[in-house]
Amino acid sequence: MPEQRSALASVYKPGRVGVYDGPAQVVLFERANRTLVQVSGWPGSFRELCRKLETLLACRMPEDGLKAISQGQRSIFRVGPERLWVAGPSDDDLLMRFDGAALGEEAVVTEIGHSRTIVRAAGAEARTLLNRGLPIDLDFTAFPVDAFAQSVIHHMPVLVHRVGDSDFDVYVARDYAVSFWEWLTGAARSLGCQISGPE
Amino acid sequence: MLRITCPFCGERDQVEFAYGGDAASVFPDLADADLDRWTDAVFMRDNPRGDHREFWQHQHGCRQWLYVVRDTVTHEIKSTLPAREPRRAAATHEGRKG
Ligand SMILES: [Zn+2]
Repeated sequence: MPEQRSALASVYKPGRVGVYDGPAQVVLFERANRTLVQVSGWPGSFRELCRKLETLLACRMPEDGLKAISQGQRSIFRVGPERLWVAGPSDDDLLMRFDGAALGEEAVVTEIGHSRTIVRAAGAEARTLLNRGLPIDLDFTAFPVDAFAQSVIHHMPVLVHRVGDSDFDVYVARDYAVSFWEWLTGAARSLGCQISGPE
Repeated sequence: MLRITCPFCGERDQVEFAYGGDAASVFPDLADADLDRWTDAVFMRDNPRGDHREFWQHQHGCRQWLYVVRDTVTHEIKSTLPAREPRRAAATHEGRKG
């Protein structure tokens, strides 16, 4: 299979950003090796569908749109009342599992991995950087590990997921990836920022 | 700037939402051929001082349509509900009637 081309290929340059020469306060890199599957259901049968998915993935399903469930390398987001996103490593067998489960008309399963670019912002000032554009309180008390929010940064729709004390994954639509990267690296110039290779 | 509490996502900034029009307006039955009632439903809008019932979509959040009561004097958002729930309630509210 041909290798997927990153939406950031034309602008991605590992190295330091900005004029600040102290230790990097933010590290940015693309999470290139991820897959994303959307599972949509219907109001009357979504609970039942979630029970099936719990057996299928051996993992609890999220109850609300505020906190993801992470297990191993997978994270599951409830992005709408009857809609889930399941993110995993690119060699995850998610689709095979869903195909084999005969979910029938209870679920619409769509592979959307190529539709999103995922950028990791890590480090002491990652939160400061994101909050230069994101209207979400990222204080630990309001936005703990595994909290997520679908919102906007500089008019670009994003899903922001706190994956660690100072680590955030930002999911941005592929069409906006270059604009988002330009905004992100621009906003990071004063913070001491290191761009490392995609992981 | 408004802060709107989405029943699914929590309190969020106005930039995540798109205004979706007057929720008090009720359209006549499709079989109803009365021109005045249709003109009223399509073109005429109240401009209340105080509570206004309106639709908003949480466009950049959960993508749900919401039924919102907003005070036009103070901009206070008094209540929000998923639009699929109170559509009928909205239709029979004391505001505009079809
Ligand atoms: Zn919402």
